[in-house]
Amino acid sequence: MGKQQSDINIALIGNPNSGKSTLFNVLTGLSQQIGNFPGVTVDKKVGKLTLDDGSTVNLVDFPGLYSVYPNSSDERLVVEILCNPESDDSPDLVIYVADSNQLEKHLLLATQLIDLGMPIIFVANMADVSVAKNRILDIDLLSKNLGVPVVSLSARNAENIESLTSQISHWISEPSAFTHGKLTYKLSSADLKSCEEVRKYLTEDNDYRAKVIAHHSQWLSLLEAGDRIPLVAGLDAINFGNVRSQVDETLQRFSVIEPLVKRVQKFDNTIQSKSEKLDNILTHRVFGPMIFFAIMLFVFQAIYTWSEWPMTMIEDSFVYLGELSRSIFPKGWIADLVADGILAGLGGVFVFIPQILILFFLIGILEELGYMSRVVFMFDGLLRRFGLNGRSIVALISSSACAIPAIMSTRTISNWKERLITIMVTPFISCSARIPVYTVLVGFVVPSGSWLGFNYKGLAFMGLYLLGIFAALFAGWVFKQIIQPGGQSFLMIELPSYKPPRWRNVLIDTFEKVMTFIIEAGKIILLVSILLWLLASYGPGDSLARVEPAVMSQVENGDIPSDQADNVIAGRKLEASYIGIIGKTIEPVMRPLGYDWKMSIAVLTSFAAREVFIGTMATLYSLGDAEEESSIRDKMEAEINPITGGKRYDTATALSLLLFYVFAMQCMSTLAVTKRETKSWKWPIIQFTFMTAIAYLAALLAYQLFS
Amino acid sequence: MNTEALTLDKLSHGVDAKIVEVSDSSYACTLLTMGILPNVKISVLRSSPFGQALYVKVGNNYIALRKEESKSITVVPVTE
Repeated sequence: MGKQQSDINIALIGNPNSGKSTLFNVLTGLSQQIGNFPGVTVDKKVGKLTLDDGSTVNLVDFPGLYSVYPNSSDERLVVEILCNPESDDSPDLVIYVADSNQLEKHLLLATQLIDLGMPIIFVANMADVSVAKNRILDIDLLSKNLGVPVVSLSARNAENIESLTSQISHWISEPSAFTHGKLTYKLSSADLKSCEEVRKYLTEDNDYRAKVIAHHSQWLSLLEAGDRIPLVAGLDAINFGNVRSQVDETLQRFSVIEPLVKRVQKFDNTIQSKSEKLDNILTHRVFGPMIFFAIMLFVFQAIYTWSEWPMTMIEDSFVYLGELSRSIFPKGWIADLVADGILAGLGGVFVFIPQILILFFLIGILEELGYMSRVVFMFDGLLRRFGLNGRSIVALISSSACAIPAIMSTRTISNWKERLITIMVTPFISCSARIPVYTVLVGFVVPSGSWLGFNYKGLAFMGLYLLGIFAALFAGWVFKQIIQPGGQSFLMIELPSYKPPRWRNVLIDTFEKVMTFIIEAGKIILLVSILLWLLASYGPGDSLARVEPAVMSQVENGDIPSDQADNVIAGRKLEASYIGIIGKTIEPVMRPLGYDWKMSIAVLTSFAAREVFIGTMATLYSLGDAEEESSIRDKMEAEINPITGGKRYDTATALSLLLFYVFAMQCMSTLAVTKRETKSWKWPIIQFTFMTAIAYLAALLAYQLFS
Repeated sequence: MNTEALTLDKLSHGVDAKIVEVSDSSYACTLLTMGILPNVKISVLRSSPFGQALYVKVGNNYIALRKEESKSITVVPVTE
């Protein structure tokens, strides 16, 4: 080999549900890194695999793929790479992972890769299950028929992994032994004509690859723009029947694969699937959705009860760190920046980790069990009426923790329009950052007490959640009428048999989602926190410097108790700062919603992230560092409206604020992710505008009706 | 029993049938790759709670399809 071993790239390719990711996790452990493939937002998972002689090679986990005729953007990426051996991502060796219980289906892509001339090791995974089901695979016969090495193993139980690594070592020492797979598909004369067309623009020796390029000439980026148009026209001119040719090829492959599987694998077909019986209840017309809602109820109950103490612990540690940094740095702007800017921002991110972790852990279990694909099946019909896809349900549930990983999970939706609508409406679902705001405000709107054993406040909370869900569905319906259709929409989803969860997968997956949140949300919240701190710490001229002497003289006069002096100074300084000035400037716009300048500031600062509302309120009401929700509430409760003489936080104002927080797009991090996933500024701008407009109107209506 | 060819969306639930062909459509290949192949046994087990989707058994596997997707699959009921 000309290459250094550390430069060797080995790809894991296989169908979805082939156990590919499990094998990846077993082979690489935690030595994984997530990057992006160039130019696209598809996660590229890379890990190091250590071979027997201690050397390491790079292992890349490719997105799951059924055939070289892809449906989703993730799948297209794999085909793009397979079509372009010159690409940096083009693998030196493919480890093809197949489920030995689904050999027929999984051999399709394997034969296509062999026809593409890729060096391959064929892995017959899930050997444990096939043994249990009495299926016996003749590895040698399969290897002889495919012309590539075949390894049987169980990634789940980490059994027989060494036979795979020894094959990899074998390939490194003798690569030529791996490139002579047997060709399955014989190109038709029409196919060969299409190859000629392709060769006018590209040098491609492999006939089959030329045919695949012909199929995808509309979108493959390896074609230069100037070549694409004449090639597509040339293919049209020879009547290259795209779909027909794909269907014919697939049928021809299966006509080879079917008898092959019968020869290499003997199995006993009599076992009635337990999953089918379970699904009689779990996907039942009536019980199915009821069971789903019961599970969701449990999930949310778990999120709130289990996250309580770790959240308190995280909050306390950040308070402690703030105090610590104040004692380390000399009093001045550095200490303020660290404590009020950086640490406050980080605290605001970390405090949500427990809730997000618990949600993704539980969803991960449901996904591993195989339950989520049933949920997709059950809700597809309903969600489609609102411009969404059954697969959107995963995003909608995820966004109750955080919209960022939720938006990223929409990549599995193949139809662009449905995916876009899912991205656009997902942030309406009440996320963890809205909870603290709801907690403080709900008490002003509903009295304590209960009805039929349900706590009024609990019911109000549920109402706010439902409002978010309805808003998402309604907005989806509106977008459905407006946005141009983006190609064919699919459901077509496998309903794999129920399996006990593989904990390693659940844990690694949860860990990745949480890291995504920390990195994506963290960097922007941190930036905005520092900006807000700047705006709140400085004012025009010496206006801030004048606050302290003025307050101190009031203290001497006895107008302000001396133990309150520091807090009053903090509040007055904020009023005189740039952010205070901005708050007062926008007050006229916010007045119709019932907000004074203090609330306007809180609404403004919430655009960093919603929960900042609480911190801002604490500063505005001169609570110093005591960020205790109950004490903020007491202060707000006592606040008097100078105009009416009544309570400042009357029902109308609090309701107006609540509705504003339900609907408004107040999360810069989400907008940044929307921008990245839609690759345009257009959609985040629309998202921000329409959500905030709905929020303003709803708040306006509520305030005007109830005041 | 009726043994004339019909599309999958018209097949009564619980009736065993055999796939005759998959008609050309942009998702024909995906159907094939999901195991919807000529001569394979197929049956519809149930509809989804909100309609529009079918729970289908193909060979020994289970998949979910939309009704309009199932229209491109021609089947013949199997008489026992």
